[in-house]
Amino acid sequence: VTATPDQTGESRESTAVITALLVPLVVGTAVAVALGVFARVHDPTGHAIDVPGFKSTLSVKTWLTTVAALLAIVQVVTASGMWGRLGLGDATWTAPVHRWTGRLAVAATIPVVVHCVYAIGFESTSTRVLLHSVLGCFFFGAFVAKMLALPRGNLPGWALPVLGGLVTIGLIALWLSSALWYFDTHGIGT
Amino acid sequence: VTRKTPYLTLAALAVLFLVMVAIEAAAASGDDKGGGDGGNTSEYGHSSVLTGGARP
Repeated sequence: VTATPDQTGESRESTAVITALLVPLVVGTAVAVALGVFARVHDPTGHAIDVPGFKSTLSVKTWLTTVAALLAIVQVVTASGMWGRLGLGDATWTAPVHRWTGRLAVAATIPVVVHCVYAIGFESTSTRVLLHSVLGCFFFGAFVAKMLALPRGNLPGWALPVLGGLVTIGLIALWLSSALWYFDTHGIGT
Repeated sequence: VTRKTPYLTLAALAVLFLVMVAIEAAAASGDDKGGGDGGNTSEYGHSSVLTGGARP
């Protein structure tokens, strides 16, 4: 049985789609694993940088993560608008707002992850802490995969919403496993 | 916005990551040399952050 030209074309197309998805996913996974391995094998410094106006480094990290989580909600709303789910019509403001809130959200998490990885490390002292450590690695891996997938024109329509959704889920889960815990145990305050 | 924009975003965030690592390393190094609290930093056990055993 020989393949028809149509079947050969479809096969080539699906191979191109798989390749286009594979590179971002492999690099994203590598980033997540590298972060986790470094955090695990690196000897944590156990140091904290005090920031005026905040009672502790944990408080700073909590509020930065909260800002990032709020920006993630804006991300979901603007992404829904960009994909025509909110009935906004030709709203040109959604794309730039989506891009900049995404950049700011990830930028806000960077001091947090650096302190987590460098000063604390990958820990498993409780289910919450283990989950938080895994989610931190997952979030940055998913973000890198999303960024690398963005410029690729030959992705299936579901790829970017799924990758973006995974990034958002990762960030919200990070907030739930850290900032919510902090507010619950220490109260809301700086 | 071009196809390079996501790569530039990733690069900028990677630079920010490295800057923060340098700050953390300098703070830890300063504390080590100073024999404890280095002025604007404090020290705690990495598995007992503030509240004994858990961390955010």
